[in-house]
Amino acid sequence: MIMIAYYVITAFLLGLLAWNFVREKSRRGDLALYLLVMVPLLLRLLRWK
Amino acid sequence: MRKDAFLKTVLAAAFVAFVLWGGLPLFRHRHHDVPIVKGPGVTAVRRLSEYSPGLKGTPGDTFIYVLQGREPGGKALLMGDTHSNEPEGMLSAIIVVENGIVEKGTLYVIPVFNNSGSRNTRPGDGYPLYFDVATDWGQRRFRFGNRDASPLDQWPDPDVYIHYPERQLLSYIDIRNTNRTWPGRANGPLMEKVTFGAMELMRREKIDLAIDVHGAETMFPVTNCIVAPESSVKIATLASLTVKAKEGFESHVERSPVGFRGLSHREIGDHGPALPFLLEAPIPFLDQPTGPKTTKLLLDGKDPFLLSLSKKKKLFVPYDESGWPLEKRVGQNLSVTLEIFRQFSKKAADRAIAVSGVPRYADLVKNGVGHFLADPAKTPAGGVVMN
Repeated sequence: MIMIAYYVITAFLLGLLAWNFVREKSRRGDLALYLLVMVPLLLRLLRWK
Repeated sequence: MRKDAFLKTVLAAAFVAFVLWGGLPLFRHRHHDVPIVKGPGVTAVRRLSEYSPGLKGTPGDTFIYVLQGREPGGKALLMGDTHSNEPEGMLSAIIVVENGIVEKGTLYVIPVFNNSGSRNTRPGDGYPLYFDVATDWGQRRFRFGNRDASPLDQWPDPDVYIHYPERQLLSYIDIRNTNRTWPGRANGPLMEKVTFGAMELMRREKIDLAIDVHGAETMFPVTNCIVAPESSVKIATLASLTVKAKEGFESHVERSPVGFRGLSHREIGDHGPALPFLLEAPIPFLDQPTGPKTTKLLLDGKDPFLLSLSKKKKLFVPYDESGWPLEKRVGQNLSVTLEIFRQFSKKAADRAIAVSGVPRYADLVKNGVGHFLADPAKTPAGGVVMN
C-alpha cells in the first residue's frame, strides 16, 4: 500500500516537472535541470531501476 | 517562439535517448532468466511460495530443488545467492543440483535465495550485469546481482529497520537484505516473506541442517570461515579441522553473535529445528580498495592493490599473485558442505545424509567451475528450469 502511494507521488512529481519543462520560457539552464531530475523518477515509474 | 520549441524538442529527444541508453540494459538484466539443469538426483522442483503464500507471483518467489535419496535419512537445506553479489554461493548450489545424487536422506537446494537481489545491480560501484563461466562446451552466462533486493520490489525503505521479532534497530537498507530479515513473517515486507518461507520449509520438512553459502571481503575479519551458533559449533569445528587436515585449506570457525539479530546463522537455530551454518569464502571483488569491478576480478580474484595491502598485512586471508579464484571459493564451499553432512551423519546415524557426485575442493581447483556445469542446450525438454 505504501509502495503504491510512493509510485503515485513519483508520477505526480514527474508530471509537475514535465509541466514546468513545457511552461518554461526563458531560463535554458532550468530546462536541462528539469530533465535531469526526471531521469530517476521516470526509470522508477517504468520499473527499470 | 519557434527557436524555443526547437530547443525543447532537442532536449527532450536527448532525454529520451539518455533514459533508453541507461535504462534498457537494466531492464534486460532484470528480465534475464538463467537456466538451471535438473541433474540426475533432482526428484522434484518446488517454489518457496508453497511455504510462504505471500510470495506467489512476486519477484521474491524462487525455486527449491529437491534431491530425495534412495534411502531415508536426515534432511538438509542449502541456500546460495542470499547476497547476489557473492556468486560462489549460487554456483555451489547449482553444481549440487546438476551433479549431486543423494544416497541417504533428502537435500533441498535454493540456488537463488534472493531472486529480487539477483535482478538488481549497483551501478555506482560499476558492477557488471552478467558474468560468464568457461565450461567444457562454451560459456555459461549468469546474472550478477546486488547484496540487497531491488527497491522496485520492496519500496520505500524505512529510516531505521526494526527487526522482527527482536525489535533491534538495524540499518535502513537491511530491510532488503535477506541475511538480516530472518526469521521473517508471513505478512511482513517482501524479504521477510522470503526468509519466512525458508523457515516454514525447515519447520514443515523437519530439516536437520541449514547451510547458507556466502562470500566475504579479504579485509573483513569474518571471512574464510564457517559461522555457527552454539548448537552447531561442534560439527562446524570438526568440519573445519577435517578439511584443513585432509584437503589442505583453511576455513576457521566463527561464533554466531547472540546480540546481532536477523542473520541466518542466529535466527534459523533460534526459531526452527535446523542446525545453521553460514559459509564465507574470500571474494576480493567485494573489497573496497580494488581496481575496476570487472568480471575478470570477479572470476580470478587478482588485484594489485590487495596484493600491496597483503604485503602490509592488512588482509585477513593469505593473498599472493594467484589471487583468490572462483574455483577455489566454490571448491571450499562444496568441501565444507560435504564435510558438515559427514560429521552430522556420524553424530546422528539414523538421520544420515549421504551425497555422491558432488566435486570437492581439489576437483574444482584442478578442473575449474565450468567443468561441472551442464549444457542447458543439450538437455532434453523439461530438464531445464529458468530461474
